[in-house]
Amino acid sequence: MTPPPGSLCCRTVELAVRVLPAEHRQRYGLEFIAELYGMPKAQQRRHSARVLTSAWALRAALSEAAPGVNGKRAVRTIHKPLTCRLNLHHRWRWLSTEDGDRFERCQKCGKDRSEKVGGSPEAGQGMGGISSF
Amino acid sequence: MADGGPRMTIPTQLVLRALLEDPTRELYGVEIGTAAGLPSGTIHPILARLEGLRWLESRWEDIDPRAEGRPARRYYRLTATGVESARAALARAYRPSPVARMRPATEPT
Repeated sequence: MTPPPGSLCCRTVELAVRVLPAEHRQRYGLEFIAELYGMPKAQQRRHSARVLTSAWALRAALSEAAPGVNGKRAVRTIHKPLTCRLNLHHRWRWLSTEDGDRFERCQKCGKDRSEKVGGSPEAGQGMGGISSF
Repeated sequence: MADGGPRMTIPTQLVLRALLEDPTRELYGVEIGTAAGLPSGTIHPILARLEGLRWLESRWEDIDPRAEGRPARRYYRLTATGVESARAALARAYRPSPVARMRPATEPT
């Protein structure tokens, strides 16, 4: 019969597991506790302390591995070039809607261009575009 | 991570090498840590990342906890694609030291 782990170690593991995403807490809680069985007390304390210190890394790994929509990994950030963010320069391309209307969209940031009739585009050239933010 | 694999840090390489010693063998966290020469309790982030990439699969040990006197452990094993991918990634990760690369090749006399 393997002696159960000490209460301090169990509490340390509980604390570590609280950091994890909710859907993984039970699994890792059981896994970490099971690993403590059969270890000498001193090793149990070291092990549970290391589990606690690596809990944030585990959380990051689990978040990284979480599948997004359609089973693909979630894109964490949408990269927008600085020139697009500042509305200084866009790379406009002509596209068509399903009903045949034509419009321009920046290839880099996805912004749609609203063109004034007979005039120049409202944004995309010069610092004046910043006022649209 | 350019090819969708994990970051091949030294601990990741050690874990993969430990698992590749016998790819059919199932190991639980502490055993993997011991085989890799890493401190116990620090390898779960690596295992989670590899499991997320489907390089590893895990299952609960099939025991009667009352008879064994301990709860079931979580066992890990490399998948078939994991074995191939791990071998390829380890081969790519190996780089000779800069000194060795700069040293001119000696021609046999």
